[in-house]
Amino acid sequence: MDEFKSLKEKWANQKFDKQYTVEELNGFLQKKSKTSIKWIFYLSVAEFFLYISFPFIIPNYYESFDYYKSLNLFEFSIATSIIGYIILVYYMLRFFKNYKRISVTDSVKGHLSTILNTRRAVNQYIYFNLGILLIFLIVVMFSAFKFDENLIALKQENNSVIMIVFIIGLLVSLIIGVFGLLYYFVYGRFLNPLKKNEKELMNIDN
Amino acid sequence: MSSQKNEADFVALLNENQNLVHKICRMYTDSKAAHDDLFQEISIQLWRSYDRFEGKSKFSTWMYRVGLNTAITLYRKEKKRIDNGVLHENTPQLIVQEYDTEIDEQLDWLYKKINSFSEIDKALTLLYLEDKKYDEISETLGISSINARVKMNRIKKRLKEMINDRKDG
Repeated sequence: MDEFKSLKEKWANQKFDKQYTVEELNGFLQKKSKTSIKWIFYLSVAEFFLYISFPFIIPNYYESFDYYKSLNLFEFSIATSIIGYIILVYYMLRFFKNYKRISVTDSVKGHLSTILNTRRAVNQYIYFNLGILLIFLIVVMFSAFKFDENLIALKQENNSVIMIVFIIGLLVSLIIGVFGLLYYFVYGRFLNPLKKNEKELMNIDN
Repeated sequence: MSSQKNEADFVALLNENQNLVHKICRMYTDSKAAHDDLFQEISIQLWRSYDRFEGKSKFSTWMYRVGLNTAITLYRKEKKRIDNGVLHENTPQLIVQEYDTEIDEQLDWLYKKINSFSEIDKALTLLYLEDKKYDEISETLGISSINARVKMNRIKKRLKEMINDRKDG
């Protein structure tokens, strides 16, 4: 095994011909970090704020409550909004707490886990919201067919109910599909390699 | 932030340990430009966490942790940067601007081999080649020291097999 020994020795004594000068090293410290972690932070904060701003950017947001009232769903719509904000506060706190714990001086496994946990809080929040949105839509739809006179009339015309349900179903899956693709491109390409590495480290101890 | 003197101390320390950072960069990148980028990012991250290191943890553990964490989490666009090379129809081989270091033919070969390892295996191989103790490997990567030992034996075996294959081939 002489060659193996010599390789290890060479490794220990290797010198890189490229050596930075002290001035160059000093210059590095003034440069901006290119780490993607802060981008994940900015994007996540943007997602939370987008939700908070819904009442202000969606036209006729408050008028829609009058419509829910006509469907006997006023309490239900208020309750869903309140639950939505409670979930928002909970996940935002979790997100910030995890984000503050991210430290490059952590062990490699610890570092990967805190980054992924931070992002997981946002993902869970999105899933929760999509779930609530879906339930809300279904409840509103059923009530609308019961109380909205326009829809009742439509229902009696012909078999358009199936058609309406189909179109709504298609729209919902389209929204979820677009979200999915967006997430895959925005986060997946950075996070999937990290997930793979975290799993590889976990497997060592299993 | 830290004082002027602190910065000078840090740069002196970084200067002394350039080789270690270069090793990590060489392992985790496949071109000169990417190497320089990573070196710069590791320098920034080391400097930012410098006050957390002082006195608290072992110097080399801190350096390996920051170096490896930065290398593993830095977003890299593509595995190979084909745009660096020129592709002609009549020249079938792809010219990628690779390293032109004259370190050593054997080391060159080793780095090329390591380049195809998974990111975690790269980290394990580095720590093995650096002759780190199992405790320090465990602390750096966040795995148990018993399993660090198991892994080190495997890396050793893998490297020996690679050398034998090279001799035979």
